[in-house]
Amino acid sequence: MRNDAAAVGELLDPVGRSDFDGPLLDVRDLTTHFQTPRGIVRAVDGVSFTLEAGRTLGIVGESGSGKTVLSRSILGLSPRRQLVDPQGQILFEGRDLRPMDEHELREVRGRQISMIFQDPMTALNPVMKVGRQIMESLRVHFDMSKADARERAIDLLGQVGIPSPGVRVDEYPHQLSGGMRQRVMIAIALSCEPKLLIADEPTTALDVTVQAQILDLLGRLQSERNMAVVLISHDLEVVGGRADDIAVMYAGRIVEMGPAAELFKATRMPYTDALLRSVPNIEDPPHTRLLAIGGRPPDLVSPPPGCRFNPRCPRAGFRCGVQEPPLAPDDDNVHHIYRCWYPVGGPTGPEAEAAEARPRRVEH
Amino acid sequence: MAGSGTAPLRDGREDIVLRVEHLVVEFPTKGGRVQAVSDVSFDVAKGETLGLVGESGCGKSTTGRAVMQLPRPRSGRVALEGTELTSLSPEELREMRPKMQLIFQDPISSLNPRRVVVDIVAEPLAIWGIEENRRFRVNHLLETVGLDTDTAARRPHQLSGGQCQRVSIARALVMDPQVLICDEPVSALDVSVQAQILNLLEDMKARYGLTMVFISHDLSVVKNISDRVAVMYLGKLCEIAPSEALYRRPAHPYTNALLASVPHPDASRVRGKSVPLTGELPSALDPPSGCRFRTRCPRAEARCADEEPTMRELQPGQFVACHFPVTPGRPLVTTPTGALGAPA
Ligand SMILES: Nc1ncnc2c1ncn2[C@@H]1O[C@H](COP(=O)(O)OP(=O)(O)OP(=O)(O)O)[C@@H](O)[C@H]1O
Ligand SMILES: Nc1ncnc2c1ncn2[C@@H]1O[C@H](COP(=O)(O)OP(=O)(O)O)[C@@H](O)[C@H]1O
Ligand code: SF4
Ligand code: SF4
Ligand SMILES: [Mg+2]
Ligand SMILES: [Mg+2]
Repeated sequence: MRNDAAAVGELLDPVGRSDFDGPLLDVRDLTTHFQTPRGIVRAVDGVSFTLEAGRTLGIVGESGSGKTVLSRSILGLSPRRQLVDPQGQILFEGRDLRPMDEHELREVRGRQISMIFQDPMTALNPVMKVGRQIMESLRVHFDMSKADARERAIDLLGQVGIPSPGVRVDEYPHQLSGGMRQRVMIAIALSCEPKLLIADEPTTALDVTVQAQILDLLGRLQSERNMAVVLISHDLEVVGGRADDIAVMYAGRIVEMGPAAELFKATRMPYTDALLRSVPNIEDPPHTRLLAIGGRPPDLVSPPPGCRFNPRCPRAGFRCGVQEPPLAPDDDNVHHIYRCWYPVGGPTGPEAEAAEARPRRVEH
Repeated sequence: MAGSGTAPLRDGREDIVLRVEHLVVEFPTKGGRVQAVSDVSFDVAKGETLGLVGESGCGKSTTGRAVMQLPRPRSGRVALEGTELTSLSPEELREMRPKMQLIFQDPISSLNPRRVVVDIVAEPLAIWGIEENRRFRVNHLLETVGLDTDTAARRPHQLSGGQCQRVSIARALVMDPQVLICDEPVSALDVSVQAQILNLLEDMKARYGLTMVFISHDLSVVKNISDRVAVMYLGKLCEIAPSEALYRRPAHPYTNALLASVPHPDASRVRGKSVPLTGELPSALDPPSGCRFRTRCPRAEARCADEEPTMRELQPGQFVACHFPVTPGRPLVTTPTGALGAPA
């Protein structure tokens, strides 16, 4: 429906950053739909955002909201046979990745953009020593001798905080703990010094203690290398303290996006608000009642008409069921955009609609 | 933590439903004996929820299962309403089973895939030959946990994770248990569904007067649902205290480190307070001598390697197994820690 993706991109460019060559990554109206026996799954449905070098964009949303499909689409890793009419542009340093063939994409992947997956065990080759896996990646992208690559692999393992890297380099993935494996994945992802790293739930399978270590590590490596990061999680709190900007996804769309602090302080979209309130806050006393969101996310084969959140939204009015709200900037902050007719902080749908329906005047 | 001792047991109280003393569980493996649970003691009073937290592999699930005698622990005692379970014959133990129920993390695989929801919930009644009001009890419970008649006619693979967990809860409650042991019941669920299930567990607890042991690695979730919290590390308890006290003034260095790792939208606030843990969990095949936490503890001294700390009461109700507990207002770190990720 909307085609002002470029405008949204401009809105998100914080003032003062006047890069002549534009943002590192500029995703415009990206659409990834899959053909399935049940019908067309609209996994990603018109997503736009920009990301500058050295910055972090956090993407959050419940499972099935399209986070993984979005990140894989950027790398051209979606199952091609299933794709239905892919739309939009993925401008990486101004070059559109979307129309590229597998050969061209391979050049970009790894060398320019790397990805870390949620489950390191499935992403690592179980029968190859971890050192060899890093070396392969190095030798594909750089013209390196075997000895140099091995030395570099050991160096990388050390950089990601693996103790005795000279020993670990000759171990197999199953000999490492989950946290160690994720460190190896990070080492592989960083081996080619990418400008952009996409981390899809990099710590969801890990303990809080290991999670903190891995996220600290990513943050440190990122600032050392001025790398841009897309950090995906279902947990708003995980990305909250780590990302510059946050995008909240619901049913294949971005429903709210803005600077991280702003999003927490002045949440406008009821779905974001509900996500924040449904997790127990460690500061609250025990047995504090949680505000659960009723129902479940919609089926992406037939999303509801109007606002996609309306069947579960406590603020929904009549209009929400018929007309989809545009992704528009907040009155107080143009960098903060959201989709909602009756945002948090103003009257709810029924309140606003009752006021409209009432004849003028009325004060009692 | 590496701490043992029975100081936290409240033997003066009349309302103790579950009492666990010197619990030890070991698994023989090719590499040697895995010391999964090593001398753990705690009790739970009627209507109380005890949270059990700790890193993956520290022995939380093993503790929960050993309490249920699944399998029987290597040593130690488990008393349910005064009945000592470890010395019961298999037949006597079977009679006791309905009184304690377990809810698992993975909702789908813990349910029989070939049966429909009503039958899954009714199954324990069928096994025990309880005919009386069977239909009524099942329907009433399904309604209480929020499942409609349409859902009741489906099979597990046709349900969402949250619905499966509701089925597990209904099934666990159908025999009217005294004690409910929940092993990571919401860890596999989305946050919005997690809130629904946590609220449901609170409702069920109030309605049926349940006593709960709630196992989780999520400290915020545990604080929300628990009256008291026990922190576990490498098969031992470090600290056990009323939830508020434990989160407000954690005394054990490991509790401090765990709390420092909790993600917070305002990262600077948490970071300033304490040092997140570095290094990895040592092997349970060959745990460190003395205090098991000493290889990662920022406060460790020579004594920690020689002498195992035992549980002692630091504040009323707050028990800690540490030679040098953290006192409020004092910095946690006494020695500089190693580089990020390197073992201390
Ligand atoms: N059947 C078994 N055979 C051998 N070792 C086992 C067995 N079951 C558990 N262990 C070991 O016992 C220790 C405790 O395991 P347990 O499953 O209780 O941990 P946990 O705290 O529940 O972890 P998680 O948070 O990952 O569920 C671990 O070292 C584990 O590898
Ligand atoms: N290859 C595919 N074919 C059909 N549907 C798919 C495929 N991959 C993902 N989907 C669907 O797309 C939606 C978004 O999935 P995903 O991006 O994995 O969600 P998230 O990562 O946010 O949990 C889901 O409904 C999922 O079932
Ligand atoms: S547009 Fe309506 S239904 Fe959608 S989030 Fe806003 S108030 Fe809720
Ligand atoms: S100070 Fe000593 S006893 Fe206390 S936790 Fe650290 S190592 Fe263990
Ligand atoms: Mg995903
Ligand atoms: Mg477990």
